[in-house]
Amino acid sequence: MSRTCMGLSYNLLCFLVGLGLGVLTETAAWRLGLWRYESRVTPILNVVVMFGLVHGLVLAGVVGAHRHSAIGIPLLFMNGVFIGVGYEALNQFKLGAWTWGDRSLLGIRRPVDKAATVGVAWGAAPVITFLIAKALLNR
Amino acid sequence: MLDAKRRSPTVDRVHAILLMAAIPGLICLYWITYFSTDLTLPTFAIHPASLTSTNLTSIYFGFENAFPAPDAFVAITSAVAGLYLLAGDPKAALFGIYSNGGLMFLALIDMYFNILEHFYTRKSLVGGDALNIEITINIVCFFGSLWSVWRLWGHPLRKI
Repeated sequence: MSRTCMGLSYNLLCFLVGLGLGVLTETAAWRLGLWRYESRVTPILNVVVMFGLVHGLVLAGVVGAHRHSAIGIPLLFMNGVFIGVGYEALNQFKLGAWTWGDRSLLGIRRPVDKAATVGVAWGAAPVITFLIAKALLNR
Repeated sequence: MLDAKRRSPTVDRVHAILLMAAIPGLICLYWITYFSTDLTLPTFAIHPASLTSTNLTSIYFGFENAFPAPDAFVAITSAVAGLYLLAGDPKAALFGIYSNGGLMFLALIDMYFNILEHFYTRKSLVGGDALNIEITINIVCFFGSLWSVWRLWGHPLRKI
C-alpha cells in the first residue's frame, strides 16, 4: 500500500490508529474499573508498545499490508490473540503489572477467566486498526 | 493417587507452552509466510507453465485460501487452553480437546486433499521445500493432536 493519508504513510497511519485505539481502551477500562495498574508507566507502555507498535505497526501495518485483505483478517485476528494471550499469561503468572478489578467483565469474575477473555479480545486490536487505517486511505 | 502420579508439573508446563506458544505460533508463522513469500507454495503455483498447472493452481489456491479462518479457531482455542493449563484450571481440558479435535480435522482434510491430487507423489514436488513443509505439518498435526487429546483426557483437571 503506497498511498498516503494527509501525507502519512500506511504504516505510520496504522501506528497512530493503534495509539488512538489504545488510549480509548485504557480510558474506558479506567473509567469502568476493569483493571488496575501497579505503576503509572505501564498503561503508557501498553498503549505505545502493544497497541501502537505491536498490534498497529507490525500486525496491521506489515502483516496486514498484503493483497488478500478478506482472507487476511482471520490471520490478523489469530496473530493478535496469539500475542494477546501470551501477554496476559505473562502478566498473570509472572509480571503482576496489573490486577483485575472487582467488577465483572461481561459476567466474568475469576481473574484467570478475565485474562483469557482479554487475551482473545486483543485479536480485535490489529483488525480494527487495519480496517480504520484502510478506510482512511480510501477516503 | 493414580491421578497425582499422572499429573506431572513439568510435562504440564511443556504441554502448556506447546498449546499456548508452539501451535498458535507456528500457525501464525505459516500464514505470514504463505501471504508474503513463495516458500510454502508448490512450483506449479509459482510458475504455472501449462493449462493443467493453471487449473491445478486454481484448485490449490481455492483450497488453501479456505484455511485461515479454521486455523484461527485452532490457534485461538489452543492458546486459551495453554493459559488455563498453566493456571491449573479444568477449562484447559475443554479448550485443549476442542482445539486438538480441530487440529486433527485440519490434518486429515489436508492429507486427503494431497492424496486425491497426488501431491505426495508428483515428480515436480518431491524433494521441494513446499512438499517437505507440507509433510512435516501433516505429521506434526496428526500425531501432536493425538498425544495432546490423550494427555488431556487422562488429566486430573478433566475430572474436577
